Amino acid sequence: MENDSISDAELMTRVGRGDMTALGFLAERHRGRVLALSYRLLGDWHQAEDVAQETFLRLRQAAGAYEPQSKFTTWLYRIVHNLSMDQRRKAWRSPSSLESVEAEAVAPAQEDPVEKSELAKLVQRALAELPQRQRQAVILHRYEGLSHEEIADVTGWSKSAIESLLVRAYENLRKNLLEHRDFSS
Amino acid sequence: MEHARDIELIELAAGRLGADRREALDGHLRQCARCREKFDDVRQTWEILGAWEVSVSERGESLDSSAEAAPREKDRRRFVLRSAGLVVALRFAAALAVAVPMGYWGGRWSTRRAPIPGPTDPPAYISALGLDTGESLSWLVLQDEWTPVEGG
Repeated sequence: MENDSISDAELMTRVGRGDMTALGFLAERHRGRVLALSYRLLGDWHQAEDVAQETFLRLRQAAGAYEPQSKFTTWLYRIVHNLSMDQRRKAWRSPSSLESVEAEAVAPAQEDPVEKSELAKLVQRALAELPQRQRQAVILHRYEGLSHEEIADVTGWSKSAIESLLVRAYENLRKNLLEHRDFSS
Repeated sequence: MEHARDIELIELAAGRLGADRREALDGHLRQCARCREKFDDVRQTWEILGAWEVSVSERGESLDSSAEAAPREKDRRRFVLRSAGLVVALRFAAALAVAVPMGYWGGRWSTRRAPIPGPTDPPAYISALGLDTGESLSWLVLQDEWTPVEGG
């Protein structure tokens, strides 16, 4: 496909000129990771879908002023991260959502006989029990593969704060998950 | 002996350390049981975390059944909450729809009833004073005691 060889920065330049086909290519290329990150941060597919749509809307609005100083995906992650946190704050303000967010955080799992799925639920639960900033740091580090500098770019936190958050987060996860060592064998 | 920093053990488990630092750490881990044990825990935690896969293949839906079930349950709760609110609002509207016309027609009915006529004769003290019983003197009469004759 022709669009596969075009860089994100080039596509953004085209979007800035009003080329909606370029926006479509970008959305097609990055929708999965946007959705996955948002889902991991929010734990809710519907909210993640909203964030994904809003992300590409913001992307279109900002395309005119876009300058490829940092990696495109880091910039994209910053939008997703900020929108997800906004969404989370909104959810906590809404009483009906509060109930469900708490319910999902405490007990995200339903019965599933597959062991891997059980382990995935265990992981989800352990992550949900982390303090919010630790959870965000781990999600960006473990699942999105971002370096400390990139996490700093996305979140606006200092590099030393990120290292401290990661150490505490992995330690908390170790305590929580390795109690269930039998799952990993 | 200088032990490995926790953050470096994490990056080693992630496979994101530069070659030089990785070799140095590997050398240290071979000699230091404490750091080796720590690293084993970090690596195992890292691997377990990998069990949570999120796939967004079809319209962003998860392949993880638990992840799918949660939003559905949430939707159901939202629907129930919204429905409950709607029922309360409908009941209130229905109560208003009944109460307002009833009040209105009840009021109309009560005012249509014939007024209780007051005594047709002027009170004794008016007659004793020899005063005319026209409407102009009605202010002398205690309320409800006498209804002046119109035009009198």
